[in-house]
Amino acid sequence: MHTDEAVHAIKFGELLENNSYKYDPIEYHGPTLNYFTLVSAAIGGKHNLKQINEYTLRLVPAITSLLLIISLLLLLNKYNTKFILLTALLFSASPVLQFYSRYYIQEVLLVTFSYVSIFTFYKFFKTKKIIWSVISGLLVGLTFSTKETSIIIFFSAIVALIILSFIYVDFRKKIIITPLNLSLVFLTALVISILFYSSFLSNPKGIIDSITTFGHYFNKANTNQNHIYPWYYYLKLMLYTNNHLIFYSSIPIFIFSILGFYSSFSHNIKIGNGYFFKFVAIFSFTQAIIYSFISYKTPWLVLNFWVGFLIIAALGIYYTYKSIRKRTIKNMFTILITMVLFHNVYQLYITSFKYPYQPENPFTYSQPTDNIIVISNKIINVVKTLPKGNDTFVNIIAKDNDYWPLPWYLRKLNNVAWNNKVPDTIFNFPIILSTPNFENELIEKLYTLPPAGKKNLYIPLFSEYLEIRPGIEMRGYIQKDFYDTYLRTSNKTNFNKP
Amino acid sequence: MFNSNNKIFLFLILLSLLSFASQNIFAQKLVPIKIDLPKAMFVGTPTNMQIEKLEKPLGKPRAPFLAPKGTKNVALGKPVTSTDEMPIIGEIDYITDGDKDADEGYFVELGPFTQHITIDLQKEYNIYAIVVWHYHKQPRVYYDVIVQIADDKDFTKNVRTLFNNDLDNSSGQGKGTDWHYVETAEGKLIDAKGEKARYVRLYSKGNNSNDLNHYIEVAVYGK
Repeated sequence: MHTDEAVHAIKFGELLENNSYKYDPIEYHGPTLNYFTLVSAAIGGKHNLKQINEYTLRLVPAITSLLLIISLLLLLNKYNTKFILLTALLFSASPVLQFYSRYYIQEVLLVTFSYVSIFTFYKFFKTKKIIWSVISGLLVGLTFSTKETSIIIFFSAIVALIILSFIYVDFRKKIIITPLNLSLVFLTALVISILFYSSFLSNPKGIIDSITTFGHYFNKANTNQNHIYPWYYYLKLMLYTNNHLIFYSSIPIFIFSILGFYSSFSHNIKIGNGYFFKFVAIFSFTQAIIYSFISYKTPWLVLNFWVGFLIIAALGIYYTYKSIRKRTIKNMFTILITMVLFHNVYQLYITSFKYPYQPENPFTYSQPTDNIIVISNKIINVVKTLPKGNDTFVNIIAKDNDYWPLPWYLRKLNNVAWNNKVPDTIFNFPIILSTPNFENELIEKLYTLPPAGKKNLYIPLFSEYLEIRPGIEMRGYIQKDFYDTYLRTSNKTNFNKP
Repeated sequence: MFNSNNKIFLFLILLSLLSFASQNIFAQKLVPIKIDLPKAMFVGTPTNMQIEKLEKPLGKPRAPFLAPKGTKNVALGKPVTSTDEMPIIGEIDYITDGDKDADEGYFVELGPFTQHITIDLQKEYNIYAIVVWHYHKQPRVYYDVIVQIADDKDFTKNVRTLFNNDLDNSSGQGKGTDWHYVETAEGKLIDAKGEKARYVRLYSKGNNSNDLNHYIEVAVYGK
């Protein structure tokens, strides 16, 4: 589990166990992820943090990304079945979309709600049915309730509307919305936002916080010293990675998205409303520019515009195929696209399954190493053999509270203290994990604070160098007599094995 | 009625009862000590150390390297020059002063991007090992670490590259094949293969935290 996933998981645990959630305007984003996970937990019959596992949590983004693919059916008409199928294939085979569909963070929910709302608005303008204005309002509300960066989505949508209204007189007529429908959209969005941000009316302050948060996030975007990358970060992320483990490139998709952008403005689109594709093109491109020029960057933010690029790439592929006259070249083009899709599937396998946490993977970002499993399993296996079991006192110390995602992995232990400095009561803890910078102070306190006769001998818990993330070593210490108990019990167990 | 054995037995019982009673009267009242268990503090997304070809630290002290009898640090106290004549922090001569402490006052901070330092050993030596300490008080990876030796101070004659982790040749000394590594208090040990040289040059190009370059110490073991 990534640090961010683990933080969201523990916060969800508080909601699950105590029915307690308060929106934090400074950090950790909107409430929809937490509340939708209640559904997943209910389906699995889970009632507390100890019962849930990675599947409970990651089912939410996984199902959400599936809904994104299924929602393409909203665009279906008698002319565009192949186009919809192609877009669905591009979504399904997209390494970046599928990688983050397995991340317990808000991004996939945000992307799904925002793009599906575009699809439902399209349905509304096509059919003029009230139900679609209500559903669109619902999705706008969910988008707003998911993450503060929804403001970028709304801004990009307004930019696209303004540009299209400016260029095409006909567009202005097509997007006329009656006051009733506009009110329905607005009111539905408002009700949804109020419900979520107020934690279903138990925290009215959350509604105010959902507005004041933008001040914090603008400040963060401009002053945060971490996660600062140049404007071409997302281009480099998506277009080319080549190292000793992974070769990754989305250059073919990117080229087709440029062709699709061109096609959306130059062709008489028959497979759907031409303005829909123009809107998606400008909307995605505007987001790409905004995200590129905000210096604060993390790789999952690329989804916000890459999903739009995939739709436009499908259009580019479709119109390139249509423009080819010769049958043989058409067939060769079909083979080329098939190869691109298969290559994407292979890249999906490499990034999501073969090297899912390695730093060489372009999509991993501060990912814990597999040592996290070694560390947590060792602690869990040791406490199992001790008289107090899961009630054994364990102290974890890391500078700047940088011990995540250990709180997730050690959630079944009942007496864990999480510290960013060595407490004076440290000698009460038979098991200690600490970053190396505290070792000297730890040793001093363990052997000077207790009275004579009570100074327990501590020995290393791990026989090798272990890190929770690249460069973040975690050392373990255990009271010798506890370790002896563990060894005796382990050996007894091994001896009894057939 | 009571023979002597019975009397002794009775006396022992009375003594035990007395002792037990006195313990209860005079014993301190024991209460369980409440141990503070702070909850995990939530944090934001941690900074990324996404560095390709990154060697893990050993996790234990490095075994001492073997070298011919009489080998010593021949760089100790020798003059050092740098591409950055006016370091931001510290002095260039910290690099060969023998101090390997990571605290302020022991390291020199050179400007950003590719910089190099050159040590003049003042005569030719057979060099067996070079150990370099960059800033290591926090986990750091320095980029484009290149170690070269040569016969002349301008590095035009008989230049040999002993270590190069500049994987993309961005520092212009050729594409390296060595791995990146996390700085530790032990320094980076580089095999010099017993090559004979007078000048030692070390390049670097910033680190994973910032674009600046830092040296605590360079030791050149030779004879």
